[in-house]
Amino acid sequence: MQESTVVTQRPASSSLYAVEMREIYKAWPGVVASDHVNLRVRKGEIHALVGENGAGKSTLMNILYGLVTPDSGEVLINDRVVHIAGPRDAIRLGIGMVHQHFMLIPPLTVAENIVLGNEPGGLVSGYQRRRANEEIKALSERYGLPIDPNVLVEKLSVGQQQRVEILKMLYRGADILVMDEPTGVLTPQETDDLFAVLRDLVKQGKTVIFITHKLREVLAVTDTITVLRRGKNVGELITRETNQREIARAMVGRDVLLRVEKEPARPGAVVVQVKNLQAQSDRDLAVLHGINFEVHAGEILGIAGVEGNGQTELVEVLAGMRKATGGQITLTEVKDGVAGPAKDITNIGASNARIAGVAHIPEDRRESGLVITESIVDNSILGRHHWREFSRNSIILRLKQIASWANKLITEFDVRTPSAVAAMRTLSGGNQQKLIIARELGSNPIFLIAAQPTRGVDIGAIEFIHRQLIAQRDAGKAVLLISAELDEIRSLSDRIAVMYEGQIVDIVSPEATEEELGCLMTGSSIVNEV
Amino acid sequence: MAMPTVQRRTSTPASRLTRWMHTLKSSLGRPLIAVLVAFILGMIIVMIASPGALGDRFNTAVSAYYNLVMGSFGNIQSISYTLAKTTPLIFTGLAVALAYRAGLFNIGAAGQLAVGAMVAGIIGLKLGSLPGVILVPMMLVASMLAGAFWGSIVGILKAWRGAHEVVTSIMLNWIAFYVCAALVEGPFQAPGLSQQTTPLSASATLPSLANLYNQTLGTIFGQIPLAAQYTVDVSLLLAFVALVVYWFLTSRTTFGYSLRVIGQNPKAARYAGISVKRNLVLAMALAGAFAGLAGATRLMGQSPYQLISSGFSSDSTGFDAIGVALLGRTTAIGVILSALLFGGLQQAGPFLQLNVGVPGDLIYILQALVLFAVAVEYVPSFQRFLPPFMRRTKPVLAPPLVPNLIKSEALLEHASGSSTAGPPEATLTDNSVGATDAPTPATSQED
Repeated sequence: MQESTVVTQRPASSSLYAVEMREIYKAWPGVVASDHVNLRVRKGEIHALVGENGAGKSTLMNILYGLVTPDSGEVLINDRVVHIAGPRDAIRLGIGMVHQHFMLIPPLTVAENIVLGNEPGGLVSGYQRRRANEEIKALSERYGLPIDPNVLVEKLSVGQQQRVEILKMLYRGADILVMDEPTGVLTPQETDDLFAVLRDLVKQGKTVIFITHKLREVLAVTDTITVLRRGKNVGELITRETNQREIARAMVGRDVLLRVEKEPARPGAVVVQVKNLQAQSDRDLAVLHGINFEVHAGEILGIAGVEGNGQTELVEVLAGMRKATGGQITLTEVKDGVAGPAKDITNIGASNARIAGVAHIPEDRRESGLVITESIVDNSILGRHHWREFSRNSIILRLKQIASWANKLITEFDVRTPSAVAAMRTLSGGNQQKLIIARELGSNPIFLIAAQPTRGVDIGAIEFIHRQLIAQRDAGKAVLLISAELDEIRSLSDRIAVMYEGQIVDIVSPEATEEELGCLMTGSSIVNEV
Repeated sequence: MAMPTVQRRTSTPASRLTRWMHTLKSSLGRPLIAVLVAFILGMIIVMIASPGALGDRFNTAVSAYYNLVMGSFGNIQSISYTLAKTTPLIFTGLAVALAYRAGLFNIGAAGQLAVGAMVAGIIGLKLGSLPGVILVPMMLVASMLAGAFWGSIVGILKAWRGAHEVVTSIMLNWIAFYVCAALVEGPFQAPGLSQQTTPLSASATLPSLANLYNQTLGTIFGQIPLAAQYTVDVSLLLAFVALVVYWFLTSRTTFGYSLRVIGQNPKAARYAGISVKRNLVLAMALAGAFAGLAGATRLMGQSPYQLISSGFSSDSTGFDAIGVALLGRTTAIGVILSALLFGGLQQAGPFLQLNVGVPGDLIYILQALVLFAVAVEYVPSFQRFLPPFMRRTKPVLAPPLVPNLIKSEALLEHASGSSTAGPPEATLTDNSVGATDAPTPATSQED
């Protein structure tokens, strides 16, 4: 590439923009992903790129990183028109991308991961481990990202792994760092650390493009904001001069309720009683060490915690998908304020749990909540196909009833689809999630488990889902909300149980500060108390 | 900006026809193209292999295809032969298709067929003195049970031990071939003959369709002359029954629904509380039962009505069935059509040799080309069936192999009645779905 000469030298101070993308147009069959989009990122700033799912953020960044070729438009790096044919070109131009899902090799050390592809040493000398380690050490000290180069990546926490990813980019000489939703997997403290690192990097002359849809973070760390909606520019905002409401309006195209409006809860009798619940992970290791909590009728109990502390297993045990190795779950139907007999639903299986009145919005809809190759109709009875409403003697499907049930869900929950027989995968993520919610709420459950109900869906759909959860609560259901989004937990829950290493460390009120919750989530309060 | 509104289709007869045509096109289009491509390639191969000027070569190729058609469907007699060859392909095709619905690649139809034929043969030989009304159903049921047993071994190993079904079913094939051959050459060998059993007694055989007609309806409506030249037997009717059973099972029952969920997404099955293990074993057992029937019906319906020890491993029906099932996209109609194609090809092979001088092996080349053309389409889903170490990349999302079967006109009518809720600039951004009927790009380009 003829541009390669530009790359390695420090950016000349004369150029104003580190990245400038002009009139980028890219159409996929049937969809215009990027409709004459402009993006200008000043040198040495943190620039937020925000927009809903499908707004064209990823397309734009993939074009910048050379993964996608635009149909028209041009890209300028340091005021020079460049042609980026692939990630190799992008790296040569000093563009580094930290993906949402890390591209690391767990059994290798930090140093090995970072130098991979550019190992010091040659054919004769082989891999020079010591030199690599020294280089990494120097690099990490220079940018204030302390890390031990000899540790295996699999031993690192998520936040540290992200640090390795950033170092990898810096090692390759990146001046422009693209961070794709970097905070999704971090605790509040880790997020703060990341922000400090980013500010530090900017001070040292780097430029950061920060892709996110968390408005709070945009305000906290960025300088300028580019908002995309449906593949078009809808605004370029200065962070200092704007607020969440304005950004949200630009993203969605209308006013959005950012705070969930709800009445105070009127909790009734105990519906779900979990006593000393224990369970093992897929690798037969104990992951739940005696969980105790109860959920009342008409309340939302939020479960906060860093991912991987047993939430997934807890949900699966409650939904009957995973065997409990100890303890007990009982379910009590409360009708008109009167509690019925308590039913033991421990280890009765997912199918029976549903019959007993447990509804489950699974954490990963595409992976387990849906069969995306099948139609909406088929998906509307997933887990319920043997119910009397949908089959004769649990053998022969009642196609007419199933079809009208599917249509009822589509109408009542406003699932946008060309027809009920359309394959699930032709629907957008938000509509897929809506169908799951429709299916789970439509059968009038007693106890609703909502695991990460808004993960990966856009702001408009989030609002809808939150309203549905509140409505379920107000209808007197017991709702268990598991979410990695602290904001979501805090705004929806009536009580918050914090989970850490397979235990509920505390149950607090939603007024607890983020710092308090963060401490509980990382188990540090336990240390303090001792 | 114009917000695309959701299109609701009205259910006028015209639109119903369009939709029906669309379904037909989407389910038949690709297999037809696969066959067409195979035939064009086959033509080129004939032209390369035959002597003479280009024009002569072309004539040879054309007359080869002419004879292919005439040899398989040219007159009633050849149609009858073709149908006789089609029958076991339908049974085994269903055996592969049913397993495929559950996400299993049943290579073991050949072994299940062998076991079915063997068990039916043993009963037919040992109890040959029983009247046909008792003996024939007994043999058929026994062959189904034997095939089901053989198939369920694969299912059990897969469900509880995680053994890959391709590996186990291939190994079970060879076990079946050799055990059956040993039985034929040992305890059941005909006295004075080698490597074969004595032919079944008349009470243990199935009548040909022509004979059956002559004995029943023919007495009223007139006889078919020279009935002996029409060899297709009543098992063809059984095959149609099997097809209906298959269609009903897969599209109208909770079992079929469960299989689809398991086959397309085992995690969703776990979420739904569908027992993956039980259904896998059940699917394999049913598949084996279909294949077992193929073995029994051919033994009982076609000459020489005896088991030959070398016949088990040299019989390609169980493997052709894979092509039948995949070309037929595992639907009942598709299985009939592709079984007819494969049966016709096999019937027409000798005609090519005789009339055109083109080697009869051309039909195997054509079969292979059809399979190849189908396989190319299936590449991502084929990868799913490879053991993990043989996969090059992560399994790509499989194309919808199986058209959604739950369809109801009532449903669309219902949908058309409901209006689009919400203001135009409404809640959900959903360009991709609302905007167009065209298939949206399957992989989202977005975060």
